[in-house]
Amino acid sequence: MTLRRLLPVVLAAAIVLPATVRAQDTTRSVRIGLTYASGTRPGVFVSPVSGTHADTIRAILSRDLDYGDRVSVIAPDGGDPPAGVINYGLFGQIGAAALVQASMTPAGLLHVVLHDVSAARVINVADFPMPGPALGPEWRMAVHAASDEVEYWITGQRGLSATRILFVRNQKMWSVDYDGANAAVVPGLGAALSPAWHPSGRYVAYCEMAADGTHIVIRDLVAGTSRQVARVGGTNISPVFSPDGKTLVFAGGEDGIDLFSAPVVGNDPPIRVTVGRGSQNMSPTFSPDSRRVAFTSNRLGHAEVYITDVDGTNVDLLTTTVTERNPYRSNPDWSHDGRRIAYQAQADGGFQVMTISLRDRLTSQLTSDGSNEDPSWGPDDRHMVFTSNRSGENQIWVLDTETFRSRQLTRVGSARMSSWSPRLVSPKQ
Amino acid sequence: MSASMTQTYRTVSTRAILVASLALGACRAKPTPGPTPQQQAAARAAQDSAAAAAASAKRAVETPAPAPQPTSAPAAPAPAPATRATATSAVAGTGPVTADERRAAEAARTALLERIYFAYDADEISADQRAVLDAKLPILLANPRVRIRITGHTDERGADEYNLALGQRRAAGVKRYFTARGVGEDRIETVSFGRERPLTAGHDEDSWAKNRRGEFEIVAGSETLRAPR
Repeated sequence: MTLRRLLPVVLAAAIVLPATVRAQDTTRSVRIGLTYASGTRPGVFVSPVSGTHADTIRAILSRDLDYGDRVSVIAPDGGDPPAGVINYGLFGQIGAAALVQASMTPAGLLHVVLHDVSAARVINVADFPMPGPALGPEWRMAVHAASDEVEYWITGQRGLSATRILFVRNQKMWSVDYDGANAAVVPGLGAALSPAWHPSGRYVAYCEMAADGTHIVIRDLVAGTSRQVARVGGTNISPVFSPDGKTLVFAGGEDGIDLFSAPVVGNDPPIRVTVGRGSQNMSPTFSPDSRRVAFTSNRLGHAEVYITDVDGTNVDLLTTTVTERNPYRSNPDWSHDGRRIAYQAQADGGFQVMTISLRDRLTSQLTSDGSNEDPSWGPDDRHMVFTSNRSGENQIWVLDTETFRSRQLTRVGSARMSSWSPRLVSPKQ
Repeated sequence: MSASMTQTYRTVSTRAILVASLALGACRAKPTPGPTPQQQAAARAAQDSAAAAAASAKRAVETPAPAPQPTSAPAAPAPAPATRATATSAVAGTGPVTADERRAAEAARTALLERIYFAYDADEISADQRAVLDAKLPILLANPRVRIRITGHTDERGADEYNLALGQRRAAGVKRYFTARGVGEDRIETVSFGRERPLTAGHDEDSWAKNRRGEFEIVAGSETLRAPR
């Protein structure tokens, strides 16, 4: 059936039409593209996969490349090409610059081949191990890792699909794959707030809420063990790991909330970072060199984002206070490339997600639909997750900050405090 | 949220603390009717304080003994073991004895547990709320064995973590008010729940005003509580 459906396309594209007509868009009857496409992204066709779970693998590869927002995935609406010798001319006709072929080998590896259509040759081949039971979480993560590698082959930028997002719902910590699959409560934890990933992807720090108050816990997601961080008096909230993985910074205190830092390994007592003099200073986020911290403070009477060296020196107001009725800027998240900080700012009775450039301090507003809070950058520094009520209740959404394409990640309701993981599968050698 | 519901919550909180008292040996509570769902929820929120009170009593002595079982507390869980030794000495010490004393002690307890409220994004204590604290002060001064926990709460607006910090500053501000007036610092602990435990779920100014609050729990010495002379 597949071949029968494709035959008219083959005939029309490759045989009947003269070259001058073929060059026109109007003849590309099977080209779907994406409505938001700027026209500069390479078209990619993902061929039918052979071997076990072929349809699932093809669907995941296609969706991952689509969600990456760097290529234009061509939907096979006109039918799939015939197996056998690859007709590069045909793929050129439907707008494909690249062709992805995948198959499951008898040894259980995912064998992926990337073709450059215009050069009519294979440009990359790799085999990916497929751990765990088929269709299980680790198996899906392995397909995502293959997608990310293919995106790197095509665009020079690694995809971000081999990632997960932690979030909080009804004071339970949840984990969800970047594509919305495998949403589930992280087992074995108490009432949890503010999850934060360790750069290794193995540990998560969070604020645990008990009857006698809050404290910081580091959870080993692999071993399933927890360790409570030495606490300061009063409340202990909003932990974050440094990008070098060595330091934990959190907010704590009784009469005034300040930032404290503590080594991740060992039990050294926390060292105070900020001198807030009774104000509240929280929601820290590290610069990529692990030497500076951006945070929220109300030391001027309302919430603004500041930056300090992690030793407490060189404090600087980042978000400029302008004349407005209720200035309130909070929840900074520093991009991994160090270039900009995302945060939330009060607007029209709700919040909107903003970014500020560290180079010239220019700000841009990224959201406008509903109230949008608490941004967390993805590892590509292009996509982010945040909390939005635009669907009628708080859910986690994903935003591509270049095309402004957004998608709803969670479906469980009352979701918030999202944190995007680092890449959870190491790139192939 | 109506005023009557607020009253219900207060009543049940008091009842849960009575259960804590039962665990400590003063088992004279009257049977209570079955709780409404709202009461159950309120009692669940209060049960932590009851357990904490029992647990701290347990820590205070070296020879634990089995606790008397409460027979009339459908909304509360079985309390942690406490000791007869502590309870007996407490009752024999400064606790209320006559019916009048007990009534006065209950009034003092109610005053001690009365909430206070805050303005938006503020930890200052307004003049009318100061009066609520001033009513607690003589009770705290007259009951040196009583330890309390102040929990700070915020409304749903603003960032989650900011609100946890704000709730802490509210609780700390109330503590400061008491310690500046002679209450020992070690008798008051402060906790913030930010926006995590709202009293009422509405999304309007009336609900927000009710949720921006400080709450009070007796975590130790409840059985000896008496009215100031």
